[in-house]
Amino acid sequence: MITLGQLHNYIDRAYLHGGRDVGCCKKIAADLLASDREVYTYGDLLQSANIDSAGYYKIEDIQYAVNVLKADHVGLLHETYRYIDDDVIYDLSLEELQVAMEDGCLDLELRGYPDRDFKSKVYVMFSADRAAVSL
Amino acid sequence: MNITIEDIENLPDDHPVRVALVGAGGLGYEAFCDRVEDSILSAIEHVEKGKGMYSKLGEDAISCMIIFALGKDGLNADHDAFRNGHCDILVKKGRFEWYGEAKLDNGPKYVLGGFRQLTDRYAPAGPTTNRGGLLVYTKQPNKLARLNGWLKEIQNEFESPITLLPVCMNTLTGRTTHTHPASGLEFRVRHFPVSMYHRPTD
Repeated sequence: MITLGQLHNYIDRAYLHGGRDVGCCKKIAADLLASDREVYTYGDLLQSANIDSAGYYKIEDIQYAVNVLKADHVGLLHETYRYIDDDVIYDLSLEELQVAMEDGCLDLELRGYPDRDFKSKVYVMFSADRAAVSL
Repeated sequence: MNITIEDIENLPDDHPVRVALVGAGGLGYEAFCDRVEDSILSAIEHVEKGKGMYSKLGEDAISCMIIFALGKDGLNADHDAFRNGHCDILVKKGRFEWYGEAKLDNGPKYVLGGFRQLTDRYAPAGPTTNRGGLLVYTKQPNKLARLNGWLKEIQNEFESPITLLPVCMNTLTGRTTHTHPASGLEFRVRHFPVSMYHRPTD
C-alpha cells in the first residue's frame, strides 16, 4: 500500500521526461479514488480525464496514465478481460486469454461451442484496487 | 468507448494501446517475444552509447541495467529467477516466458556453454516457453565477427542440428533454431552481441 503523497510522487516522476501532461493521470487517479465503481473501460477513463477538458486528452494519453497506475509499485489499476456475447458475460483470466490466442478460439463451457470470433467479443477493461492507496 | 482485442490487434504496431497489450501478453506469444527482443535491442543501444562508462561493469550489473530497461518498457522482467538453475533474465507474463542468458565474451566455447544453459537447463520449450536470447558482452573489436564466431561454434559443436538464419544487418543479431530434445518443438534463440569495446585513440 502507498500513501496519496507517494502516488502523486510516482505520477510526477513518471511524467518528468515523457512530454505528456501529468494532469491526465492525476485526474484519472482522483476520479478512481473518489468513486466506488468496480470496472472501467477505456471510454470511462477517457471521459474521466476529459471532465472540464473538452476532449483535450486522447486515447494515447489514457494509455500512458494507465501504464503508470497499473505499475507494480502503484497497483491502483489492474487490466482485465471480459467476454460479452448476447446472454454470456464472462471475465477471462490472462491465462485463459493466452490459451485462446494460441488456439485461435475461446472454448467456454458457458458458451457451449468453441468461439473463433472471440477477439471481437473480448473487451479490455480495468478494475480499481482502492486499497492500494491509503487516503 | 469499449475496445476489443480485435480493435487493438488492428491498430498500428507502434500504437501505445497495442504496445501495452502485447507487453501484457494479450496478443499472443510471438508478439510478446518480439516485443521483449525489441526492448532488449533498445537497451543494448543505450548501453553501447555509454560504453565508456559501462565497460568496467560485470555481467550481472549490465544484465540488471537491461532488466531495468525492460521494466521501464512495462515488461515483467527478473534477474536470477530459478528455472532449474538461475536464469539471468526471465521475462514472464501469465503463461508466456522468454529466457535470456548473459555471458562475458570469453571466446566461442564459453559462449556455447551459455547456449547450453539457456536451451538445456532453463527453457522447457513448451508452446509458450520456446523462445530466448543469448546476450554476449564483448570488449573485443568487431562484434559482428564475434557473433559469427560463436554462431559457427554452436553450429559445429552442439549435439542437435542447428539452423542458422542470416544475420540481421540492421540490428547485428543472429537467430538459430533447433529441435528441443525435451519437447520436440522448435526452440528459437536470438543472439545479441553487446559491444563494450572502448579504446579511444584521440
